[in-house]
Amino acid sequence: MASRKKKHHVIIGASAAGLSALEAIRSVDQECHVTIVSKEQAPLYSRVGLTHFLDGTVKASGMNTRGAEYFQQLNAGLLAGVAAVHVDPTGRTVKLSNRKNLAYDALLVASGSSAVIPPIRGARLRGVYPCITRHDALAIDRALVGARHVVVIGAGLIGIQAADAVVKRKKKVAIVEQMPHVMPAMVDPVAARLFEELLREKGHTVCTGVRAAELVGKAGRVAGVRLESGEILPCQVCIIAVGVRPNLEFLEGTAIQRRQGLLVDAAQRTSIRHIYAAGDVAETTDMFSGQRVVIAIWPEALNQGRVAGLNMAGHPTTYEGSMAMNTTSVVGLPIASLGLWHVTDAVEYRIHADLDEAKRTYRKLVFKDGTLVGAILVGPNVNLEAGVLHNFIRTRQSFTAGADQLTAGPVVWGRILRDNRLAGATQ
Amino acid sequence: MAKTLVIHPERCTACRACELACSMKHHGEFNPSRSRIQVNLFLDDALYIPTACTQCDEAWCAKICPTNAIVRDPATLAYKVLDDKCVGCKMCVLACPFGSIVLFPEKGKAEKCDHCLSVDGDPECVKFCTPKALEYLDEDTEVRLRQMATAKKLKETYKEVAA
Repeated sequence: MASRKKKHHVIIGASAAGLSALEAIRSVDQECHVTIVSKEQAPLYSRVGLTHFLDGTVKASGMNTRGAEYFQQLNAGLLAGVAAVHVDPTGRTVKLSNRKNLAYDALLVASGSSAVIPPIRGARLRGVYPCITRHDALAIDRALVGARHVVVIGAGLIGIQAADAVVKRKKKVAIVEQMPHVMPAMVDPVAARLFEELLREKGHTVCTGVRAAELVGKAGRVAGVRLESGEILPCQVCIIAVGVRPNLEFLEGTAIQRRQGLLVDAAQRTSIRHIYAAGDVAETTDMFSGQRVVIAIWPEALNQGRVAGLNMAGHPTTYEGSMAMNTTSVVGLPIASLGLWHVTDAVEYRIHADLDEAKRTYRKLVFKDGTLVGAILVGPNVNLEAGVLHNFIRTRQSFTAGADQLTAGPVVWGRILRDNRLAGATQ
Repeated sequence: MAKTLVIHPERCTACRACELACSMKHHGEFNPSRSRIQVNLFLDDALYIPTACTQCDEAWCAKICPTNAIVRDPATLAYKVLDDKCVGCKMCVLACPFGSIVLFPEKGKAEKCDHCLSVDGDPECVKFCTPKALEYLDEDTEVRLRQMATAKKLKETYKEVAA
């Protein structure tokens, strides 16, 4: 073998996308050097765990993902507590906060996102927290001990999970969502109402279609949230979860193309040669609509990271596109949403919805040309069929015998086996 | 040695003792809805099909888990959920194409058939299966071949139902 200098790949970010890329690189190349730069201190943790630490499901250590031995096993260098400060695409170097420069052959930007703090008065009072880092979660955990009332501003996935954690900690929560219903990017109004009613039944407050105007303080500490309607919601702790923005400051001054995130092609390549992006920072293509999207979820970060890593290591691989999906439970009621659940066009799509308000179950399936493209499940069906339907959607299975195959009842594996047996018996 | 939970649907009499045994062992109650093995009943067709986790070689539940809470036992090759690591996010529920890993809100942890590894490694359902529709066997060539045949059938099934 010709003695060429070993390649050195740099990965900025040590969460889903970054670690998935590292594992992908190592699956095809044991020789190259890989350095991972993480601006947060070890231990590495998963942000998926934050609200579940808050609600007491796991201890703080339960959020941890990988230990030091992981990087040894994968023969990769970890620089923890070190941030990327600037990238020089011409010289192919990354300047770090420790003043060192790292040269790269390929660079992966997998730096994730940060909480957006809205420019409203009082947002910097004590007792006000975002909920996106381990540091935030530890601070909220301490603050909740003496709190009785908590306001959560923003009822997206993080907000609703934070609110659920507050409920599990036996505090009263008030949720403020500026959109017409909770979880606006995750469920339709029908499903949302089941959760809003459930929360209100348990004595909590849900304010939708209204913004927080100001956080009211008392001696430097938050004491309440004043809504635009004038209403004041008293609280000792306020959690702000109005959204996230990608961490891309270190790319300022470069000509990299970005809109909401860094524009990437199907190989996760950005507009600058040798620079890849994956996860919350990447603007990919929706696998159904073909539109440009940032889908900041753990599973797609894994997928994108894997594709980026393989391409960085010289193994051409194509990303199939992003698929929106989410799942959680609120006050014990499970919810999952998959793919194109939000369409309303009854001509182009066939929409099948079963709602049982008394049982609080909802099952909505969206078909296009005999193919399942989206679903919302509320209730025990999440356990039964969320995974089955997800994989039907992702693999674009078509249902030639009619959508009734799916609409008749929950799709469980046993039923599929039975259908097959009967089909075989009659042939 | 790798072990396998072998299921013979044609021997199943739909007594559902396996569901009671499983829920008793893992939840301390006779509650079929909490069982990790499910007997799918099709009375009109006189067809009873027990299903449980297949312990996939490439386990999507384990791969997607944000905290690496689903681990494979190196001896038997079954996967189990580590309760102190599982945050209850349900990514695995979304990932499993068979619906074989679930999460009940009152427990808040994912659970799946782990061949009873989390208790004593002695599958309770098998002990109570009188017609021997369930067997816990070393994964020798014969079992492996059977599995491959079933897997092939499953793949065809998938195509048939979803083609």
